[in-house]
Amino acid sequence: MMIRKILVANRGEIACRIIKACKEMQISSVAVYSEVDSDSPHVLMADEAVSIGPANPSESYLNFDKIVEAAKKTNSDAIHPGYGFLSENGDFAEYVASSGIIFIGPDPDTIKSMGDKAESKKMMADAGVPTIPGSEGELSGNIDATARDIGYPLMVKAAAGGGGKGMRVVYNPDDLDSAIEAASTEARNSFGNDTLIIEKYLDEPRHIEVQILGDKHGNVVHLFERECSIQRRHQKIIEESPSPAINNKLRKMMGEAALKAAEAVNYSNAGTVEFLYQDGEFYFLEMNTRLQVEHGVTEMVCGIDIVKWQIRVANGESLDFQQKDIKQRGHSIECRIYAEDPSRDFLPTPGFIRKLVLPEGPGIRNDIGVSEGQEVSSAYDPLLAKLVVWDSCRNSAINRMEHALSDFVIMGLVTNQPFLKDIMNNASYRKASFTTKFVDEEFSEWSLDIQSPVAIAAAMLASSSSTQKTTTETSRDPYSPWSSKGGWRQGV
Amino acid sequence: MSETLILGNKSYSANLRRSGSNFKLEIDEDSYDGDFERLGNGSLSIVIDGQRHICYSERKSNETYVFADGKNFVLRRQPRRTGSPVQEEKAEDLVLSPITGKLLDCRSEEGASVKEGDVVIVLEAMKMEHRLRSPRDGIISKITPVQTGGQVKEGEMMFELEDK
Repeated sequence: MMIRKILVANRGEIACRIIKACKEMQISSVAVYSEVDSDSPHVLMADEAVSIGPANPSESYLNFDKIVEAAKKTNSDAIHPGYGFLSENGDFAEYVASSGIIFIGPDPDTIKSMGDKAESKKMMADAGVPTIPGSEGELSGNIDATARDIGYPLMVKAAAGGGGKGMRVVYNPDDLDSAIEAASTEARNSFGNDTLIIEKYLDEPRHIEVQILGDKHGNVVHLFERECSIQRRHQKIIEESPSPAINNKLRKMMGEAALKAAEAVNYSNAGTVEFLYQDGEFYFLEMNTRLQVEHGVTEMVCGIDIVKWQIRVANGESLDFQQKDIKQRGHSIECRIYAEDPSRDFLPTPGFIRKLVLPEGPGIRNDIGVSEGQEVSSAYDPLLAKLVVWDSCRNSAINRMEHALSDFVIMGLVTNQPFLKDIMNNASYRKASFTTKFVDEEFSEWSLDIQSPVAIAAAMLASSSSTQKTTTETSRDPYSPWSSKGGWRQGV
Repeated sequence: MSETLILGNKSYSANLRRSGSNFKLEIDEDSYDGDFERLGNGSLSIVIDGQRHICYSERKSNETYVFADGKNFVLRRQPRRTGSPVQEEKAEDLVLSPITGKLLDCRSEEGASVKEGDVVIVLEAMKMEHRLRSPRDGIISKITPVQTGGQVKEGEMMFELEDK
């Protein structure tokens, strides 16, 4: 094996996940850390750790030179970028390779071309992957006819756009002219460019994505789909596999489309093809050229360790299975546990973890990046842990998740657990009848209810931190004569 | 002991009486009988209506950290003396930081006049931006000395208003 030592250019739960894979493969691991992360679990777990600077990501986790320097200093053979940070930075991948280090991910050119939304959409359309129908480039000629061909509702949007500016949804042909006028004025004012494009508008989409995995010898497979429609402010919070929305025929079509997408860019390593799905049709949204946060649910149903395969294919090995060998078995759900306060509009809640007890039992997996006695910094993403469950069917998996959430003890800072638990108990969620608008539609009026007598009793019976310690220490041995029970007092 | 517990913008009046391992809990108008036991690992077993719940709670000065029923929260106790109406009115003029994080931008200064809804301070924590707006028209009488890029703590004074 060429790869004997891997530097993990990330932090939190994903760094821990990758380091664990390294250990199981008997590969040495190197963690990097910023000033505020020196006691973080990923640092303590790795064989070596290198300090790379201040908390501000641009001076540490996003700094090309510091990371490559750390890799050279520790004689690392490869760098695993995880997700986020530098994982989808083609220039970084190029820089790593030019430094004689293996980048665990696809080719830099693939990362770059898929990072450009317009370019990737065009490449995929050319490869025969369904994309959202729209005008090819600038609006001109008979706009009414173009609009009719695409079909209503449609979206008029600024070509240079972003952030919701210069966008209009049109439900009715009579409103098209005024929408075009309004959008072009807004586009001119916001971007100095009034070029518009029109596109089919999906008003009730689901977000369904397909995991792909390729090696450097031209083999590429898909590991089926993940349903990721449960989102809050465009952030995924609950994912599952299989998707309850599609049948086997559609599943096969989406898998084949994802393979077409992968083959079009000669994809190697792990990646994800994201689709929007509505009314029996699916459309390419984007391709993520990295490991995905929610990869765990796919691992649970397919029985394939994606991180280990990322390392193997980066090392030049061939996939030792084919598409026909891969089956989805049972049902898996992931809940993302965030340091956010659901009773205060999901404000971030950095703080000190006073108690941490993880749920255990059959079909429960914890991907976690924090530990008891740790300060959760305000400098990074609020994702603390991913709770993943597996069971034979969706309903059992939901029940399992609901209980596992209750058994996932984090005390000292507030998390979104009650919100996740209420989603597990929501009738539309249970019936699998939801779109990406689910949270806005079902939970806009939601507020945290702590009026549980158990919770209030626990608060009223709380021991203060100083006596807490004594209680814990003395009660370790129930037969100790020094235990405070029974009115004995030392030295009396 | 009757206490007022505050969570976010809600408050609960609760009373708990113990007799051995039994307790009687009153929350506002409701009343519950239960049983409790402290377990070795710092947890608390609470039985209400025949169902056992393993909970965790810890008190530190006037904050109580709780994990129970799959919910984790921090309760604050009502200060012993509630403020007079004058003081309460003043409290509305005082804007505290709702989060621990970084000061991204300070858009005003002492003596400047602001309108209701004006963004005075922009904070950031965990990659999310949070804007503090003026609750009413007025003059900034006091503003945080923290510089751009500096750290602020939850509950720290951010700015104070006075009448024009």
